[in-house]
Amino acid sequence: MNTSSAIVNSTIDKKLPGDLAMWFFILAELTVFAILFIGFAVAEQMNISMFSEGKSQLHTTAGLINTLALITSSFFVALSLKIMQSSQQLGRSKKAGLWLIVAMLFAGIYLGVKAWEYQFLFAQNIDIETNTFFTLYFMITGFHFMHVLLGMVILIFISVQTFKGRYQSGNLSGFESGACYWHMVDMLWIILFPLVYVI
Amino acid sequence: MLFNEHSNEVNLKEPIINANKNNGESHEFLKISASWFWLILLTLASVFAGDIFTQAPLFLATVFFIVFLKGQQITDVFMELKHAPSLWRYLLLSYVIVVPAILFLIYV
Repeated sequence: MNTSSAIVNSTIDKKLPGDLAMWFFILAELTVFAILFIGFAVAEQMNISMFSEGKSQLHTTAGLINTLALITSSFFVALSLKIMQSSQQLGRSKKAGLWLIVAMLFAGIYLGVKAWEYQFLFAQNIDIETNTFFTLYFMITGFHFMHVLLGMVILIFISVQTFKGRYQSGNLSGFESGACYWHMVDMLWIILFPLVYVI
Repeated sequence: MLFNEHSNEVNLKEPIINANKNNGESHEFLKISASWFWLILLTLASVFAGDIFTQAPLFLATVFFIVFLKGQQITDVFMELKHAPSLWRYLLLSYVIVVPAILFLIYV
């Protein structure tokens, strides 16, 4: 009896967070970025001096701040989801919504620093047409920037729904989907950061 | 009397259930916090790896291994895929293994 109930429990526990469609979307996004990352690395091997010079014009500290901001933002999203999973009472929903706002503030730091970085490069007459390095730099980081913007729109939507108490029925699928998308954006930056700023 | 006994039993159990729930929440909070701290440490380690490892292959291996460790934390703790169907967990984990491995082979 105990064995069978354990099997049932383990089957129930093995649940994919969020919607299946979101996970296929995440896989598609990861694939696109994998191609971009590999393309960047191959181009670097074909133009080593150009990429080395290009990387020296970037701010590693700005990249580091952005990494810390995105990781911290992801942490608050995960924390918010945990609060919602433990209880869907109105008070808890508000607490979870507040953590989502904190997560968005950290995402705002990322957007601000990245915008400053672009502005800094534009001031030196460096843009997407300067050379292959900057074409790929603006393309990959710009594409990621747009994903962060989309992620923020999703977080805003989730936080509004949370404050309204829409997740109190216990169906957290929408919340989980949005959170997983945000973690994917974080995961992409974790590969992008060493590739562009560290190596 | 019986009713009172039953009532007492319920009253005694309720705080225990709540305490267990609170312990569970605290444990989950600690797990996420520890993961965040570990991710921060790994990020700093990858930035300063260049100062420690002077040989390019060792430096690259360290940086890409750190990428895998960070990806594993995000997959298992933040995305909660540790308790998801194995296929999805392995798909995400293979991403943070295969992509850094390909990049390592290109650079080395």
